Amino acid sequence: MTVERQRTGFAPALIGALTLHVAVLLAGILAWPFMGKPISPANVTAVTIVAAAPSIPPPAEKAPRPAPPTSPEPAPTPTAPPPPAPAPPVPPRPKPLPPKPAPPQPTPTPAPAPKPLPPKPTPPKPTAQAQPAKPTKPSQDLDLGALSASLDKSTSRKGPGAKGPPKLELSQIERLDQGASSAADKTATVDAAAAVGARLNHLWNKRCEVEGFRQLDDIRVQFQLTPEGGLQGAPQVVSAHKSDPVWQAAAEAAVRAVYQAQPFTELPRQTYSQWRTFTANYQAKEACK
Amino acid sequence: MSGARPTRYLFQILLVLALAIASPLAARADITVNVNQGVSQPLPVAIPAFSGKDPNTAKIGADIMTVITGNLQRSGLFKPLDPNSFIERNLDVNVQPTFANWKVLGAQALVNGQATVDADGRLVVDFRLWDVNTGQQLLGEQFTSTPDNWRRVAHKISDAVYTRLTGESGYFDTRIVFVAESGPRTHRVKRLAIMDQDGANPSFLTDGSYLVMTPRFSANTQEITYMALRDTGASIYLFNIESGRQETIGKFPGMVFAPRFSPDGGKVAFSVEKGGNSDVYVMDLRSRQTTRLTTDPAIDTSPSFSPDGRQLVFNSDRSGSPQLYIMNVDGTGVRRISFGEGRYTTPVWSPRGDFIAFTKQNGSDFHIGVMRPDGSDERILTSSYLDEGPTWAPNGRVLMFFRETQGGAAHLWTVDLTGRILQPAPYTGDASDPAWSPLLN
Repeated sequence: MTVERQRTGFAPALIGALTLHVAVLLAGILAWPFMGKPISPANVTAVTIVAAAPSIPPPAEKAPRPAPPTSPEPAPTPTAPPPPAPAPPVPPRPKPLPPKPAPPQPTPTPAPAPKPLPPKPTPPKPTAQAQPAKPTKPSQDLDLGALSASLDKSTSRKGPGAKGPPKLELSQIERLDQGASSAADKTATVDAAAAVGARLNHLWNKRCEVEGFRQLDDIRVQFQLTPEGGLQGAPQVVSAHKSDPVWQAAAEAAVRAVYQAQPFTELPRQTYSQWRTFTANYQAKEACK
Repeated sequence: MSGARPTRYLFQILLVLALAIASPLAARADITVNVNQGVSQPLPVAIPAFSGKDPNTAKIGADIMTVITGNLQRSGLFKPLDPNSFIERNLDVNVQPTFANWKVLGAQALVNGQATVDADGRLVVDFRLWDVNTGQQLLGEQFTSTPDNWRRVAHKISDAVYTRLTGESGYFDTRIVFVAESGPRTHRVKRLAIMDQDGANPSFLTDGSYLVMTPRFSANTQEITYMALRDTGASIYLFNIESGRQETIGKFPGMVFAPRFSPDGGKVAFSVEKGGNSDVYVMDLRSRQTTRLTTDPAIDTSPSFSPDGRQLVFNSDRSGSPQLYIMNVDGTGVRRISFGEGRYTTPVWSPRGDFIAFTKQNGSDFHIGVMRPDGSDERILTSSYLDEGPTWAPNGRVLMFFRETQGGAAHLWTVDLTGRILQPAPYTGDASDPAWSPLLN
C-alpha cells in the first residue's frame, strides 16, 4: 500500500519533470533559428555626450572623447631678409604632351538648413528591415558544368569587377555533396552557393590599399535566409574577433555586403531546404593579389 | 496501466523531438561560399547637416556637414549622398535615427550631429556614426573648441569617421605648405604659403621678396624647412610656423638645396652642390654637426628618410641617368632600387614605410609613381606634360603633387595609391612643391 502510494506519487512527478524538460527542449527548438540574431543597438547609454538632453533615451554609445585641441592659426608674418635673387634651380623641362584629363573635382553640397522637427520621445527603433537598395544581379548561368570548369581554373584570377560564379574549392563541393541527398539536391545546393557567392563578390567592398588589409585572415560570416531569399536574423561574424581596426572595418564591410545582397530572389523556393544557411568566407589575401 | 501511458507518451514526444531536431539539421547544411574577388567602391554615406538650436549653431552645423562631406568625397572611398534626397533632415543627435529612412536611399552609414555653444561660449559638437543596416552605433564622440575653430572640429570628425570605416588613420586634420606662385613667368614671385588640406585658410609665410623652394614639414607640424634663393646665394631655413621665427642652418661652400627633416625632427638631410658635384649631407639640429653621406662624383640629391630614420632614399646619376638609391643613415650600404626606363627623381619615403614615391620622366611624359623600398612593384600613378614633387598624406594612401600644363601654370593635384582617384587639390591658385604635414595634434 505504501509502495503503491509511493508509485502513484512518483508518476505525476515524473510526468511533470518530463513535461518541463520537453517544454524547455521545444522552446529551444523554436528559438533555434533566432539564436543568431544580434542584440540590436542597445549597447550602452550615453555619458557626457548627451548630458544636455537627459530626458531622451539615448542610443548605444561609446564614451565620448575629449575635445580636440585648438591650435592657433599660424601667423602669416613674412620675414623679409634680403632682396630677391637670380635664377632658381630649375625644374625639369617638360616636353609637350596633352595633359591627362582630370576627373571632375568633387564639390560638397551643403545641406539645407535644418528644420525644427518635433522630437521623438518614442523609444528608438531597432533595425527596421526596410527595402534595401537592391544591387544589380549578375546575369549568369549557374550550371554545374560551368562551376566545375571554374574550379579547374581556381588559380587564375579575375579582375575585381569580373562577373561569374565564385570559386568553390573541391573540398567544398564534396562537403556540399555529403549534405545533399540526391543529384537534384546537389545541384540546388551548388547553384545556391554560386548565386550567393557571385552576389557577395560584387558587393564586398575590399580596401586593399589600407595597410594590413592584404594580410587579413579569412573573415567568415554566417547567415540564414528565408524561403524568399531574405535575411533571417542578422548575419554573424563567426571568425574569432580581433581588436585590430582594419579587421573590424573589414568584418563590418563583409556583413554589409550580405545586407546589400539580400534578398537572394534567384534562389528557388522549392529547394529551400538545401540552401537555408550560408557561411561566406571573405578572403582578403586572395582578393588583393 | 496508469504507469505505462506516460512512458508511451514520453517515447512519442521524444521521437517527435528527435525528428524535429534532426530534419532541420539535415536540411540546413551550412553552405560555405568563398568571397575572393570583391570590388572597390565608394561607400554611400548620408551626412545630414548637424542640428543647431539657433541660427548661429545651425549655420555652424551645416558648415561642418559641408566640410565632412568634402573630405570624405575627395578621399574617393566614400560617396556622400545628396542631402536633397534625405527624408529626414533635422536629426536629433540624442534620438536613434529611423534607419528605414536611410536604407531606402542606399546609405550604408549615417553621420549625424549637433552643434551647440555652451555657457562659456565654447562650441560643443556631438556626433554619431551609425551602421544603417545593423542600426549599430559605430562612434559617438564630442568635440569642444572655440566657435571660430569649427573647421578643425569638422576635420577631426572626418578623420574619426574615415578611421572607423576603413581601419586606417585619416588625413583630414592636416595642413599643406607649398610654394604659391604669381606674376609673369619672367618675374615669377614664389612665396611660402600654408593652407588646410582642403584648401581653406591659405596664408603666406614669406613676402615674395626672395624665391622659396622645396618646403618640408617637420614631424611636430610646427616647423618647416625650405630653401631660400637670394642674390647672395641659397640657404636652408628652419621656420617655426607658430612664432614666425626662422633661422638658417648655416653657411656651406656651394649651393645647398633639397632639405628634408628626419622623422624625429632632430636632423635635416640636404644636398650641397660644389663644382658640379652634389652630395648628400645630414645635420644634427641640436649639435649642428654635419655629416657628409655620399662622396660619389655624380649628382646625389633629394634625400628622404625612411620612417624609422635608419635609411635614406635619394637620387643619383652615378649610373648615367638619375635613378633611386637607398643607403643607411651613416652613408653605408648604398644600393640602387630603380631599374626602369626613364629618369627617377624626387623620391619620398611613405610614412607607412611600404612605398617610395617618385617623379619619373620617360620620353616626353612625366609621371608620379611608387615602388617598394626594394624596387619591386613599381606603379605609375599619373601621366601628364609635367607632374612632379610628390608628398605623402600622413596615412600613406594619398599623394599630393603639382601638375603643369604646357604653357600654363602649376597647380596642386592629389592621387591615391591605386592611381584611380586623381583630382585637383581644392586650392585653385598657382602652386608648386607641396608638402603634407603629419596629423595635427
